[in-house]
Amino acid sequence: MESWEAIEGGRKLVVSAQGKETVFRRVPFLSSFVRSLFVNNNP
Amino acid sequence: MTASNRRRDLSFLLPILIVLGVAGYRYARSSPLDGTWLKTDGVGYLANEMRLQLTRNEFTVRFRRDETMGLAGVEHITFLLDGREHLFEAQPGGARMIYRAELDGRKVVVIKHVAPHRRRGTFHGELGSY
Repeated sequence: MESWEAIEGGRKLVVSAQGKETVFRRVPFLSSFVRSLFVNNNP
Repeated sequence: MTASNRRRDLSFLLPILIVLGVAGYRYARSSPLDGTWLKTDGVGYLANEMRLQLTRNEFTVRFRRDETMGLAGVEHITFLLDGREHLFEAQPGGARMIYRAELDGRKVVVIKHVAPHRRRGTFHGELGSY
């Protein structure tokens, strides 16, 4: 089972899978937008 | 200030107001999961950078494929959040991975399992299920 949940007011993302947690931090919208202009293959 | 100057000022402001309105609407409609995320802690199969989008019916994950594995491009995975079983992945040998996904409060829960091999030529399932 996998679960995806945003915590701390949407600043962090915790993905739990097979008893392990992976933590992500949010990329600010403007930073993400600027990166999308310059980085090839941006997801 | 003359009327024509005022009109010119307003015509300059109008596109900015429209852009701000669209951005505000999108921000208000978005879920806390929406956006781009960078991995900070934990190991595993998840990519270092992902973009997520959650709507009422779908959860989409986008990430760059692992170039060290010889893969290129961007992978898109969309989970249907209807609590029913759907095909996640089918291998040429016949092995299939099935998933079921739903929204549990503010959490997206995905359950995957490997389905037994389907015998050739004996498919009796309904349309839409595998």
